[in-house]
Amino acid sequence: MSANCARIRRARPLLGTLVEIRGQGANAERALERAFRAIGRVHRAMSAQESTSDIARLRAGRRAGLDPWTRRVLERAEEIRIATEGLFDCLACDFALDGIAKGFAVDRATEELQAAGMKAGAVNAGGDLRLFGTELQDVYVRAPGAEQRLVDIGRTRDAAVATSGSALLIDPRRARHMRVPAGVTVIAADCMTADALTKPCMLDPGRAREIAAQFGAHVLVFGAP
Amino acid sequence: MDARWPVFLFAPAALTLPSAHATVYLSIEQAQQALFASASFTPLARAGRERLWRASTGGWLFVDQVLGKHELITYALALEPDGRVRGIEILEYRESHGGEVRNASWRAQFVGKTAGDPLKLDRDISNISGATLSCRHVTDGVKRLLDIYERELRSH
Repeated sequence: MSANCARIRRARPLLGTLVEIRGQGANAERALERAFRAIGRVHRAMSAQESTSDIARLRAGRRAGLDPWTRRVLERAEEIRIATEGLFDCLACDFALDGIAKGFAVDRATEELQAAGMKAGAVNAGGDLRLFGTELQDVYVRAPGAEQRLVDIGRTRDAAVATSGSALLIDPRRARHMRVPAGVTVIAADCMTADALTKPCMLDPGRAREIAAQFGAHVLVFGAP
Repeated sequence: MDARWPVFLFAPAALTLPSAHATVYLSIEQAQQALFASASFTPLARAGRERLWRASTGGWLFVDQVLGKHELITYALALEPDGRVRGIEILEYRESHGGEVRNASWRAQFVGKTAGDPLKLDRDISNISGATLSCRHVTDGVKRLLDIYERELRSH
């Protein structure tokens, strides 16, 4: 393998988590740089903490001047809100896009890797994982509620997987805390959808399969509700 | 989605393994080149645990470690000559869970270790979807290094 067709991996603190990106192909360094730049753009636009972010703008009631990426996330969030009858609702949580923006960032970074010609790659933002390539790879889930175990969920060449293990979720319809399962993992065609669907699946584990199926996704529920 | 997930669908909890793992992303030399292309580096002796270099092209490079509840993270912080953050790279991530963490010896094994002195843990697993990995310790570490810059380096 020549020096400019390497397999590399890097990690940086972004989106409130450690973001790991792997790439294999010619000029992999440059491809990873592009991918991290996409994550950085999402970080700046959709961080709930940064006063200059689109979230701060939305909270101030301004829709002008939003990053087009923020608009895409808001549109998808609205589709999922409608399909889940309000179980996923960014507006109810003061425009916090945390539950969907991380997955969106993973998708954009994956696109950059592919556009840069990577033959294989992966982006993992604290458990929102997307991978592509020609070789089968094992995928693991850190078992929610039993973090010392990794669960081998199978092998794939191409997948988007998101896991939510939060025990403190607020039901946006009732604005109160719910008893929820230890966690859920959603496997979908894209990571934004997988990320967003973990929340309604947590809030209504009995209907989780049905909710996921509406989006062609699979769900795994950990622990009894 | 199609039949790529047979194991997942039928026996998700059947295959588990302990999650100790370690990942090396960059050596210090690789991080230096990634963060400051074609510079040379002069180490600066300091009393603290973090390591510090001055780049020939201007700017500074710190290498430091943060210890979380379950993980040890070695990272590099590159600063511009005026102290602005130029870049951050994770050099090494090591994790352990369960008994080893409660055991003081797991933590003790990190004392005096540097990024050039890698530990052997069980496995290097690439694709883990899981409860969000916090970067709070790294963020706190970066703040600490920026304070050091203000106190010790700004006047250079």
